[in-house]
Amino acid sequence: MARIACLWVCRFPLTALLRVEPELHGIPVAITDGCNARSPVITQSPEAQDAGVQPGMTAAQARALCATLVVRPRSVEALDAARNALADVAGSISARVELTEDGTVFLDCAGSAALCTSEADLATMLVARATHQGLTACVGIGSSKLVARIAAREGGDVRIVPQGSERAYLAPLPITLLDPDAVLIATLASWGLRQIGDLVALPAGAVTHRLGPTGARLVRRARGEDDEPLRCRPVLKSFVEATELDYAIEQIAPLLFLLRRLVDRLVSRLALHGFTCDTLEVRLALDGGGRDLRRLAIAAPTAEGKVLLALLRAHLERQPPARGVIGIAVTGIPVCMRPKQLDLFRPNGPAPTALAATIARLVALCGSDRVGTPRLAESHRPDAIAIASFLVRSAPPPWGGAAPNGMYFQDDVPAGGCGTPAPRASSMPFRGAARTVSPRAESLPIVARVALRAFRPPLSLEVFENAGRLDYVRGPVLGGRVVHLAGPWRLHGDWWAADPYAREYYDVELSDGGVYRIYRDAYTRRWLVDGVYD
Amino acid sequence: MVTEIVGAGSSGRTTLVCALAAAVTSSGDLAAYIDLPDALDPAHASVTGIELRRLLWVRPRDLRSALQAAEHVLDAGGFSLVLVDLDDRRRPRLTVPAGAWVRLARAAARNRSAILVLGACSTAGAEDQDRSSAGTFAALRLETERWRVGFTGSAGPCPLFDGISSTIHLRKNRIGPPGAAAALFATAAA
Repeated sequence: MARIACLWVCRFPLTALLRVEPELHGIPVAITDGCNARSPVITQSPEAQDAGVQPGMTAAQARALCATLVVRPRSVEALDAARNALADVAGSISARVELTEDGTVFLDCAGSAALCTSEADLATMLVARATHQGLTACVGIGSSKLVARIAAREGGDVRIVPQGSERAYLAPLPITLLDPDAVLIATLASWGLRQIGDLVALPAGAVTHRLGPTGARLVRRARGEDDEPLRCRPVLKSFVEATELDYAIEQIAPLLFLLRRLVDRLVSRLALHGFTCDTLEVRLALDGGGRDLRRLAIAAPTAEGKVLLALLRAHLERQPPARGVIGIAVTGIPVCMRPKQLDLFRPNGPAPTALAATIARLVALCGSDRVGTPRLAESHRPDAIAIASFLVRSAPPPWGGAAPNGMYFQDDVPAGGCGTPAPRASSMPFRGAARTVSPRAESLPIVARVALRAFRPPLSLEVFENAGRLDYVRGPVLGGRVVHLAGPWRLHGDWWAADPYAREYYDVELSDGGVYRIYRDAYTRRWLVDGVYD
Repeated sequence: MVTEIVGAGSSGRTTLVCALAAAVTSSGDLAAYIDLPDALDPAHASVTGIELRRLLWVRPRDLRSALQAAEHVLDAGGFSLVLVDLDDRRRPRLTVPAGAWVRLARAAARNRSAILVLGACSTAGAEDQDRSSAGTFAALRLETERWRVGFTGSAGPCPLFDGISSTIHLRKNRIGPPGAAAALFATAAA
């Protein structure tokens, strides 16, 4: 026998609004079906109800009754977000979830025994998770959708109808809970039927004979028999949180304040499914018409609200909205973070989740083009650089790996994969006078390839020549007489592209002690330095 | 543990740092390079033996971002070596707050990582010392001193830059006696 749970939120439009604007808690609030003074009130807060505000009044009438009344039009986006959040709460327990138009959510409890010890625990868990999402929900559990829904509406926070006791539970309840139409209610009232038990007591055949198929269906429902199946909600491909504003926001700080709420709610919904955010889309409705669409591809999927907000802040500060903002919608594209199989023979790298969050933080801090793994550019241009996304890959197995080929000690014999023979004491790598070891060195020398510190972008130089030879170099961070010189090496390329280069490179040792790589641009005849050997 | 490498320009500091990164990445570990001056040259880094795909390269725009980036990387865990390059000739007067070093040292100890800070020369008097240096927070301080620059055939028609010969001095050592020295040959790529 199936067991169905129902999540129901009383005064759903009001709860959806309070979820978006929590500062409205505890004050008189009315939701209207429109924006003008004659729009009817569709629901109101208990404080407004105490002041005499009732559904059906116009906004002007409600304001006349309560001077401090806050009137808000029904926000479709806030309602959608609240409905989906409630469905996400159910989806965190069961894969079979139905979401109705009025915000009521049903879920199949089959298999929940693995998560909860009892149905009471399940209901408590659902209530707690809904509260965490900013929704005060009531939960009912029964053998059918009808019983579960009635239990949720009439039973307080949590109501569980045990298997087989549906008829006894429904009997004292008013017959209007079965949702008959107005004509049928009038007919039943004329028969003197007020409670569900009164209808069940009548012979089913006689009721069907008088009321037709509608009556037969009503009797079945009165007995707790509901064969309507769950119409499962498809898996969401994006999660949306939105809010509308009464006034335009011109500055970024208050905009970020609102964005933080939306992002926090989005992240908490993603967490219900164990998702991380792969892409963030922000849609800003601008004052005076128009929209500002932004799509932020996150370098490493993350579920941290602070990281996403930092990315948003960086993006907004770089490109502020053209006009005031009167509506915000944040969409998160989810991705499942898969666990990684660790290598048995290699050191563990960072946890994938921690690494993803770290990469996202670094991107927010420095920019997406300034974080990654360096890559050899597919260009012969000496100062070309490339950067790729940082992905942790498994290292080669120890039995097939290469030894470090950039650093080796003199007495070490590099492994076969290195390809660089180990230098001997008698054959130091320097061909010239520099092969002499410093007399102050006390241990075996370290041999490595010389590294270049790049100046990015290259710095302009003044170069003075004497008798056709470079004699003196002066620049912003260097300067001195040329002590030694190697070159020139002429490089040219990209002549087929828009930015060709033709350069004469020199390696120069200056009297300031530095060894620099300088070049003369053949097109502009300018001297530049693009690196120092260090 | 914070290790600081200082030295004058062209004294082999970057070569030493790259060699250490090459040793770490070649053994399968991950390294991070926080590159404040944007000075890493991927082509030369590859030649020095760094396995580029195991190197996280971060190019912050200012000192504050660099220190924050280093903290983030350390907090992620799993990076055996975090290189923080603070030697920016175009920003010579960098002041690192002492609290930043404390946080970095603690994060490194917590995550079993090593921090290598590459700073400018500190051989001048104490009053002229570069304020970017880790100072008392450094457990090790290495100083590179250029011994000789090699040029072959300087008098001939086709001279070549051979490399740099340096001495690495252990100026400070909290876990042993200071004062040791080693030679470093930085050979130019063929």
